Amino acid sequence: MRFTEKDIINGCKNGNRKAQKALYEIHKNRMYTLAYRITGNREEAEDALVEGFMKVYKYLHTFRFQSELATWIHTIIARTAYAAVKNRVHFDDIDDHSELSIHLIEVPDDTAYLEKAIMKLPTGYRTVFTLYEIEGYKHREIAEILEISENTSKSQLSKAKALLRQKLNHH
Amino acid sequence: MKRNPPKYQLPEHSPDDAVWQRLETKLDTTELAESGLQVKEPSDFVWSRLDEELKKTDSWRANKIWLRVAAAVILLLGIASVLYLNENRTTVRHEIVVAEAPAFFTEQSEPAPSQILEDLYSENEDAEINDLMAELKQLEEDKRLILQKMRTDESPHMQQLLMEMELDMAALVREISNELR
Repeated sequence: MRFTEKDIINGCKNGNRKAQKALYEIHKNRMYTLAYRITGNREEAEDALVEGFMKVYKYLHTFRFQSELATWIHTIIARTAYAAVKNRVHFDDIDDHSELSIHLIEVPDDTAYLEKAIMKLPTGYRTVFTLYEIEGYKHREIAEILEISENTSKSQLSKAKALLRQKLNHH
Repeated sequence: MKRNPPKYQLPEHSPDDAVWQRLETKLDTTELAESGLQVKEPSDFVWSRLDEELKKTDSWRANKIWLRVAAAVILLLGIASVLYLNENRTTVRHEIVVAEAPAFFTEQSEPAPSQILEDLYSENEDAEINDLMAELKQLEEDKRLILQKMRTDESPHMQQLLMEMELDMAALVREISNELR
C-alpha cells in the first residue's frame, strides 16, 4: 500500500513512528547534504539533521501547504545547521552591489573536486554559495535565514565565487 | 517562495543509519516526558538540594511562628497602652481642670468674703447686717460642700449650681458692703 504525502503528514501529526520514519527516509539525503555543506563536517551535520527533524515533527501541525513540504523542511534544516555554526561566521556588512562575476564558474568534470573546493571555503561564503547556487534560494531568503542584508548576501556570494574560481584555476 | 533550479549538480550524501536511531530515541524521550510517564532515578545531588530547601522551609516556618507571637505581643501591648493612656488622660484631665479651674472650683481659695467683711464691722452692730453675714456664711459653707462633691461629680448641673451660688454670694457681699458704708 502506497502512502501519499498527506497520509504521512497526518501520521506524523498523530505521532505515528512509521509515518515519522517514512518522512525522514524520503528527505534525509537531501537534508543531510544541505546540513553537511553548511556546517562543513559530518558530526555537526548529523546533529543538525536530528534537531531539524525534531522541529519538523513538532511544528508539522503549523504547515499550511502554502509551499511544498520539502521546501518547508529544507528551510528548517538550513536554519538549524546555520545556527550550529553561526558563532564561527562573520559577515562584513558591505553595501556592495557589484557582483564580481555573473558568469557561472566553469564546472570541472570532476564534481567531487568542485565539492571539495566548496567545502574549503570559509563557512560564511560556503553557506551563501550553497544556498544560492546549489539550493536555489533567493537573496531575500538567504538574508532572512542568516540575518544579514540582501546586499551582504550578494557581496558574500561574489567573494565566494571569486575564491572558488581561484581554487579551481589552481587545479 | 519558488526556488531557482540548482546551478550545479553535486552528489548527495547520506547520513549514518545511527542518525535515525538517535532521532527515534529523542522522539521516545520527548513523548514520555510530555506524557509524564518518564521515571528516572534522581541523582544524590537532587536529594541534597531538596534537603536544603526543606531545611530552609522549616526554618522559615519556625521564624513565621515567632513572628506571629511577636506581632501578637506587640498588639496586646499596644492595646494595653491605649487603654492605660485613655484612663490617665481622664484622671489628668480632671487634675488639669481642677488645677486650672477658677478659684471657685477649688476648696482652697482666697479668704472667704465673710472673713474680709468681718474686719470691716463688728458683730451686733446692725441686726440686718448680721442676718446678711449669716446668710453669706451659709452660702460659703454650701459652696464648700459643692466643691467637695465636685471632686467626683463634675456634671454640668453641679457647675451650674456652683456658679449660681457664686452669683448669690457676690450679690450678698455687695449688699453688705453697701450697708456698711
